[in-house]
Amino acid sequence: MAYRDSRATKWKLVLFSTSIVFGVAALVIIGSLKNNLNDSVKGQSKSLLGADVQIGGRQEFSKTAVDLMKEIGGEQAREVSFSTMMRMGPNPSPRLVTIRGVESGFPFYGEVATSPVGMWDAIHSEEGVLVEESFLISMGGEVGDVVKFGDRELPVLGTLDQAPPSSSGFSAMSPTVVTSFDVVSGSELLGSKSLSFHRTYFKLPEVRDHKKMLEEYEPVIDSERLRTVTATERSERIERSINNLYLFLNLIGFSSLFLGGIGIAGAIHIHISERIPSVVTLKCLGCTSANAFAIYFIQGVCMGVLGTVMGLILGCGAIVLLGSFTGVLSDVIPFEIVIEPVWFEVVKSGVIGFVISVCFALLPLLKLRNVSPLAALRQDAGEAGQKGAGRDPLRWLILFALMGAAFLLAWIDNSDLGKRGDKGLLAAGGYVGFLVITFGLLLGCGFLLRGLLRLFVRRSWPFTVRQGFSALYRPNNQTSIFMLSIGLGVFFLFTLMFMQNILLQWLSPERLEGRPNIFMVDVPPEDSERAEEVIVESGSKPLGAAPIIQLRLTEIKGRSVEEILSERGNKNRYGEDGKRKGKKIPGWVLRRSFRSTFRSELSDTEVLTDGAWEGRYDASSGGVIPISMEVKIAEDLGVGIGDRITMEIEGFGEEVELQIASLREVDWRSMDLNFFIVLPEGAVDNYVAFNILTARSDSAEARAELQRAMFASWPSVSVIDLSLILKTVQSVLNAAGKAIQVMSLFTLITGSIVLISALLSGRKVRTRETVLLRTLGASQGQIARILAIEYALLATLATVAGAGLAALASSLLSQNLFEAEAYVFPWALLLVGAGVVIVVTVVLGMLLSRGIAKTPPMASLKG
Amino acid sequence: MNFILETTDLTKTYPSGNSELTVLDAVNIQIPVGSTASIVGPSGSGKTTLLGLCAGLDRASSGRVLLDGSDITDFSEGERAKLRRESIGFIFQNFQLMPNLTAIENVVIPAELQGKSGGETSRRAEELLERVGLGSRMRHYPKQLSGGEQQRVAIARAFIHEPKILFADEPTGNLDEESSVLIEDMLFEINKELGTTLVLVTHDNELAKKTEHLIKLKGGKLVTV
Repeated sequence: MAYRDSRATKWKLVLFSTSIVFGVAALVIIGSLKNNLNDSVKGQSKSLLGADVQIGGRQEFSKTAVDLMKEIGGEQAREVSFSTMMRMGPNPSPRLVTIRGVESGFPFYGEVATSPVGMWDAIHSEEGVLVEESFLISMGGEVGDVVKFGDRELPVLGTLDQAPPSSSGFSAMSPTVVTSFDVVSGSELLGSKSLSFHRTYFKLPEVRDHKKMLEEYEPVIDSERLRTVTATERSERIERSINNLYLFLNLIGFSSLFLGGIGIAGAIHIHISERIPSVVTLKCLGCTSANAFAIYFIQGVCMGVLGTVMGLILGCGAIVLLGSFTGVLSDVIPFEIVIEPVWFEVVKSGVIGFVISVCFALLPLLKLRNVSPLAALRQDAGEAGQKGAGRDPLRWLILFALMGAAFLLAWIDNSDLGKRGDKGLLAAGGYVGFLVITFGLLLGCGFLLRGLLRLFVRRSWPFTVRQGFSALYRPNNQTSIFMLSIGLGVFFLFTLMFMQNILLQWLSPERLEGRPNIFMVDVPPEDSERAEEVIVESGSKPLGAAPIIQLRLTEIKGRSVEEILSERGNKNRYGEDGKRKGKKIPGWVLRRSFRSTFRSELSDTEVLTDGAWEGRYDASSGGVIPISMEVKIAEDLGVGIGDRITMEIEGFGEEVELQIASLREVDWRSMDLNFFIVLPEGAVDNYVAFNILTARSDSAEARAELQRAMFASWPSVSVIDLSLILKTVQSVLNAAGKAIQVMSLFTLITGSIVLISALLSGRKVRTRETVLLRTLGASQGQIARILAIEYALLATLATVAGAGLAALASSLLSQNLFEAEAYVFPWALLLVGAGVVIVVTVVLGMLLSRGIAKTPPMASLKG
Repeated sequence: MNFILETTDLTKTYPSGNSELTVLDAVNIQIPVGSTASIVGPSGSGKTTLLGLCAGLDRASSGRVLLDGSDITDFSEGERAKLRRESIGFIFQNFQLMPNLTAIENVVIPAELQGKSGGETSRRAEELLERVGLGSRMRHYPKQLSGGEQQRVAIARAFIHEPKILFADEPTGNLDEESSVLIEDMLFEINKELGTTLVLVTHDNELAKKTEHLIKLKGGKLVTV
């Protein structure tokens, strides 16, 4: 009977079932990719680090550290890296690069590929460098050219097709140049470099648990302020990043699936409404409510199965297709990856898609229970059973069951995200919460806007306009489905557009007008004045200079840092009474080197929040030195006004006792010279390690000229051009934005299918109305105008709701990011985007309503 | 005598497999201006088809229809729509009210389709609704009205633009006896007041007897006029 009943509308039902196709496909694609990536990372964890263990620090290793490494044993390879300016061949303009000097033997796992082949070994036997091909092209150089950095001039031996593994984040911001360890360690340049990293890589016997081994050496590692990474930790870190991206992308997939589910519910609702007279007849003929329910439930289940299977095929197909383009991904992903459908993910996505679609299909089927056979004798049979749906307890039960199922499925889906089980629970709660809030807000906005429109309509308006408006209140018009299908797509798309716009404005050089866009690091203190002259001569404007004192924490409130670090769990925030308060001091804060400055006044990017600013210190008094500390780092360290800390001045071997005299809030977003710790003038003036100078120039030529001039006079000074860094950040963000765009597209396509389903479902009602109007003399033009106004209104309401929510979400983000700064809301973007959505919807609606205006009016007589 | 409606050899056929099915076979009728006529006959005799052709809702296979002096046989769809909105009123067996519009909003549709709106049209609609006994239910939606009340709204709608001819298809077919009598009386009264020609299709012999002319069809052929 279910089959016989569906015969006349089978193609429509097939179309409705496609609502969930893209949601299911999205889950298959995202899930499979996550697994493919994680499997690759797990399989290549050692080659991602190039070793079993890496121990590193910001300073040259001390004798104790060297002894420790000897004790650890195994095969070892050292690396030293730093940023510096480099010139190439005849090109007079130097560029900031990251130099990596690596000992032979590294990497112990994985391979380095070069062009010409074999150059990786060559850099250890003959002096020379290997560079990234893109860098070589951008500098207009070629293999064989000579590069100059610091006091060294070396030939380019080849290009890196696959670079040696790196754990440095900064190298992504500047091109990497690789050479041998001996070349760099023997360079005078290294001694003057503030931003150098020293690392030793270990290849250790398999039998050792590397993490446990490092825990045994923890006291020495902590006291030497060393950082350690094992191959497993490195791959776990990457896996965490993949999982976080998965969490976000999967949410879009889930939303798409839910939207599809709602589409199915809406389509079945209309299908059932049209079938109620048949149900009434069946009941008159003795069919039970359960049997009648079963007929349509089977149809719903078939739609769920069909949609899910199509989704799985599409998802697997997309993965297979993506797999054939693995070569393209090699530029983006730093490891080999095999892309293929993961069957567990396919089954999981299938179950999720099926359960969600069937749950949604159950909702409209409930009214079949209330259809009375008596309706056969009454003219309003079509409306039987539709009343009081909101008060039906079973309806609410199914809704809660649906939420429960969504929660459970999301939990199962995310249960493998972390070692802590609560992360999966949190993700599931977040998913369901997001869906309920977003869908609820869209529906709420829809009701509100519809209500407002009703008040707005005037009887003096032309009939076609009023008729278009009144269509919003037509029974079974599925206005809510329109709100969701268009609204959700618009919400995702516009949020993405707004976010990109916010980041674009945030990264725009114009925003930083008046702020420095060139930083010169490692300027020798005695050459500071001459360097400022060079800045002026090259056409840039010097904006400031800061002497840098390199400080390292040794004691906090009388307790040594080693003591704090050595305590298991490091829960060492101490109160006045010396008792633990339990908040963990981050290890990196205790180990880090604080590049601080001294000055007599606050800068315009700082605000004093507590205590008194001390701008000068009388060294002859010999008392404790008053300092100003950034409020958040003070909180991390568990210190406040009056507390004392002891710090070592790096490079001078002296310790100073400091007292916190004031706390400052620092606007880190200003991209100016900002510091955690500021000392008063007169206290540490003789301990300057180097100077940082800042300048601004809006001309790219002037900036290039400044780099050339600085390089000519001080090859060891790093000139950081902020606009180049901003460009790099922008390109990274654009790449991330593309992944989100693709997922949003899935939601958009689902929204379109749901929209098409809703339009086709409502065609019968529209046709009936149109026939009547035609019989009463309405022209085809009038009918077309009424339909166009109806679609334009529906699209406008949904777009206003979706775009409104997106604007709200993005304005919250912009407030957080920009605070008091002027953020220009992209009204033009909003209006153009909204206009496009409305026009597309109207065109789509009119195309799908073709023929309605031409339906012969004779149909009105035939009933 | 002036005729508002004349048909000449009006024929309607439908393709049925390889042959043709004739549902109306060379029917000739003449309805004088201001008169009342009923089309009767058994089910399948072609009553509704004849009504549809006369009202310009459908196209004849052959023959001609002269309505209010115009030969509408070759009228385009636009010309037919214009004729319907200006000169013709309709009443249907199943009322055919717009569910999303109130009673008064349903009534004003024909006038508004002609571009007539505003105070005068509203007043006229209110008068008509008062006239059919629904003065207190003007703002009610169709689903809030009984079948008889819905048909009274349809009568008010049929007369709002003062048509020259009114076609009614089984106007009491879906109503109980009491409501039927009320609707019939109203229909004839208002028709007489406004001097409209009334053509109705009915199975009800009593109703048919109230009209001046009887058009009897059988198997698509005219039996008597």
